[in-house]
Amino acid sequence: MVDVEGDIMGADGKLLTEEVELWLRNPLDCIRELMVNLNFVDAISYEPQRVFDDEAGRERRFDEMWTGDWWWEVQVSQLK
Amino acid sequence: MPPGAIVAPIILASDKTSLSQFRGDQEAWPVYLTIGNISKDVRRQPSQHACVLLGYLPTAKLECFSSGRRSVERYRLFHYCMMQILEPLVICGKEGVLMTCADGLVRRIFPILAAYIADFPEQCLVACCKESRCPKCTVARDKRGESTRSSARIQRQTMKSLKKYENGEILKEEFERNLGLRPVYEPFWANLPHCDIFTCITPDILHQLHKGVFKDHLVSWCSQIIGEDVLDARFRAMTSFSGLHHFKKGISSRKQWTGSDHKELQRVFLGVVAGLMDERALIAVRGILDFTYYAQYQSHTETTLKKMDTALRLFHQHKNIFVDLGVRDDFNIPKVHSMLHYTTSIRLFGSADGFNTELPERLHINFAKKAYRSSNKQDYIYQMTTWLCRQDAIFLKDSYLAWHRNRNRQLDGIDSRGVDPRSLDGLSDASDDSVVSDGKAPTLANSYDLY
Repeated sequence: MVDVEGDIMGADGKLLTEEVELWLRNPLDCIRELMVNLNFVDAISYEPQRVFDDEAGRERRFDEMWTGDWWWEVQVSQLK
Repeated sequence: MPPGAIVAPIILASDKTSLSQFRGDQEAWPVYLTIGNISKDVRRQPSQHACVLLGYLPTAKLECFSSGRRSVERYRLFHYCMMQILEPLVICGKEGVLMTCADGLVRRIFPILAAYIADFPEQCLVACCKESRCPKCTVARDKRGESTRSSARIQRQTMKSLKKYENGEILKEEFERNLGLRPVYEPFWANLPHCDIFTCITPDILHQLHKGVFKDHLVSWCSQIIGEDVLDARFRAMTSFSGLHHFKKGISSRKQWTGSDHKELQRVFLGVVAGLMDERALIAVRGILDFTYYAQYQSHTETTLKKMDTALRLFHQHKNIFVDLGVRDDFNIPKVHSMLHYTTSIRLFGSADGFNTELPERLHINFAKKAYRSSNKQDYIYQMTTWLCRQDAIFLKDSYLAWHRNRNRQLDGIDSRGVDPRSLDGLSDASDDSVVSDGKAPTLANSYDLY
């Protein structure tokens, strides 16, 4: 399964070089793998939420990542 | 974002770890990836495979550089490597990418870097700042003990400063002293869309609060004031009580502390020191303890966040007693400073337990240590990635089979005439997954490439 794509960057200082190894895989494949995983189907959220403890909507609750302001800001407020 | 866009908040975690116990310097530097779409309860269970290994960063010693330049070159190498790894996200973060989700729908996903879990040295590495500074804000070197908030670092401005320094428009003095930056001209986050790396850096309860502020600082201040013998005598004098840890030998001689030891100590500490110290010192201790407890809440509301701020203020109002008693000259400690950023981060990304650094440390066991042990210790990274790919393949096949069995069983329930022989394999330990989707197996499209 490992594709050796070609390696190694040189890092040169005083005429010396050193070869270093970087192993990577495509982050998109990783995300796809997580998104398609059926085990998570009950534990996954696709949109940000604002969760309130009271009916008047004054007491904001923060726990999961989708209840935070960041996600709301990026997905909802920046609607183009 | 266009309408219908779905954000996939990427959480990265990296942590250097040593692989061997007795034989020299075999190190690995794995980077893990997970997404904020998945609930934090699932994310933190390693058995769920909700965190995946993204790659191994080079751990070279860079001996080809003179010692003065080595550290900055290490910064640059890190950023260069991260840039290579995250390169596909630059375009996808702008245009989105279609993905089939677990519920069978196809969505346009925008993967965006949201959080980066790391310990303090790596936080500084990510933020390109000096280790004497805060990776999140521009607080001055000698002001880190104060409770005033400084202006946050902003990605655009930081890039401008870096550019100016590269072109020689600002002096070294200004660049290093006032901004506290390191000359990394192409940080990996420069081109990532919608991302502000400085807000991405999340609180680290284990290292900052349990190990840092509480154990390394507060407990040692108190034992200096009280005296180690008196403090140990008090611990010994406690009666054992169910649910509370009894520190039979006292605490001063103890060398190894785990995270749960810290928590046990926090439960009894205030009671132990009560009456032995000045009232104000006790209040300061209480402030820290309250803050630590609030920070661990799995779910916050505005009220609890306010209480967290109050607890922190309580500490800052009374901390000077430690100076008066001569155990401390200042509070210029990065970990004390870091407490200021907790509530902001919780408001942005949810409660702090979702970004625990215990998670990457736990993942090392699977993704680094076990893999290393199954290699013959020569050219180990190559063998480790091969091993991990095979483990992954087995896991995916396994979960596919489990899902398939379940699906067949369900279909049998609906249509009792046609019995699929595959459903009669007698194994019924499959989870009660009740999903019927397009029947496609999760594909194993991942392989590790040596760049």
